[in-house]
Amino acid sequence: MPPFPEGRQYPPWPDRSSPSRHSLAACLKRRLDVKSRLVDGETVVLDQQAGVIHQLNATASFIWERCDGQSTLTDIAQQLAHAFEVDPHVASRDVNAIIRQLEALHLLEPCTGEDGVNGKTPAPESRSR
Amino acid sequence: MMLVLRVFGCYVMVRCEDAETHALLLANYGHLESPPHPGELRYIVGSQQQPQGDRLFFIVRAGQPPLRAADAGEFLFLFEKDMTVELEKCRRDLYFVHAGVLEFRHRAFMLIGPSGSGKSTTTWALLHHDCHYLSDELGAVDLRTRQVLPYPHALCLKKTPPPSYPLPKQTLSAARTLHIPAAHLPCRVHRRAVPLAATFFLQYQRGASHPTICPLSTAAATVRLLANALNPLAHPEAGLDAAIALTSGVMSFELCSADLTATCALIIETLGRVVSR
Repeated sequence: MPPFPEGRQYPPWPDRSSPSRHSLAACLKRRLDVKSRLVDGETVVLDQQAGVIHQLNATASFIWERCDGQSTLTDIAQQLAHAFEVDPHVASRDVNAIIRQLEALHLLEPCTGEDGVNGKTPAPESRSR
Repeated sequence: MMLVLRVFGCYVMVRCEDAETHALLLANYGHLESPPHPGELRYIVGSQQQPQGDRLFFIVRAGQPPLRAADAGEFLFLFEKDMTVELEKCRRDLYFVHAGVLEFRHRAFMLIGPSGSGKSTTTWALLHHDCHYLSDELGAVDLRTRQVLPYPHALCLKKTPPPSYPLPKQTLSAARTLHIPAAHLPCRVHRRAVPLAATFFLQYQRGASHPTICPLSTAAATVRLLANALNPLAHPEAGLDAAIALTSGVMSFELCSADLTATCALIIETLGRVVSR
């Protein structure tokens, strides 16, 4: 039996039906123990703890790369809108949907004091300066 | 009776306690037979006729408790499993994949997929279509050269193939499996490594009217390769970088198989394009 069951292609399409539980001021970061590699615009994510491999498409890869514990969801949505030349509202909706799915897969974790400002999520204003 | 095998550059010495067990192993591994050598791996195997008529088999590897098998098929399964796990330990530098491996116009390609996806049946059929044999069930890739090493043991089928691909009379029929000795395959059997050119990830769809094939991105192929890798943890970063290096250099496809002849034709057509690039 291979040690890793095959992952699913993620996300096949953004689920826009329900919003993320995070505000757009929140910032999240990739789990440190998860290995990921960007390959030709897509990302392979290996979660050894769960024994699952994921493939992120270009949009999800863009968001994944920016889940660095510093960028807020607003920052990411703005960058996504600019990079993919889409309406900012659509970008925000996609970021929310993808973040929600990445969280459902337990690939993200909240920022700690070492990541943000005094353990609190920086406000979007302070991040934009 | 001694049988010495050379597999992936490792020597396996098997002491057979009876003629039947020796003949069984020789039929399965005859193409891997080597001149005498002390062997990195040593086994003692044998069988005993039971009063009820059954023949029970045993396998002993140095320092390990014996394995017991109720019939020839189970014996071959257990021997193969134990030996290949040990070989994976001996050759940690190789990347082992659950795959059938064939050669077409001097390039190797792997049919990759989980058990029941049709790897061996498709491998058997392709041997009738200008493809040549490297391995069944186990693809061993040298990461430095990106070549696939041969492992020409008997090709093992779980069920009788369609009539257009008949079995040779030398096929060994075990309780649940059919074993076609490499010497009786309808093709050339490779003894040397061959450069890898393509990977096909098999999916069997019951009732599909025709086979389909679609190219995979490197990331998609990497995910599928890792899922079918047998020793990824023997490599740095859990085999992730090795899988990317492998898939980056070859063309990869997802193949949904259907009618066997049509599936073979589609693979051959695709391979023609791959090797002519």
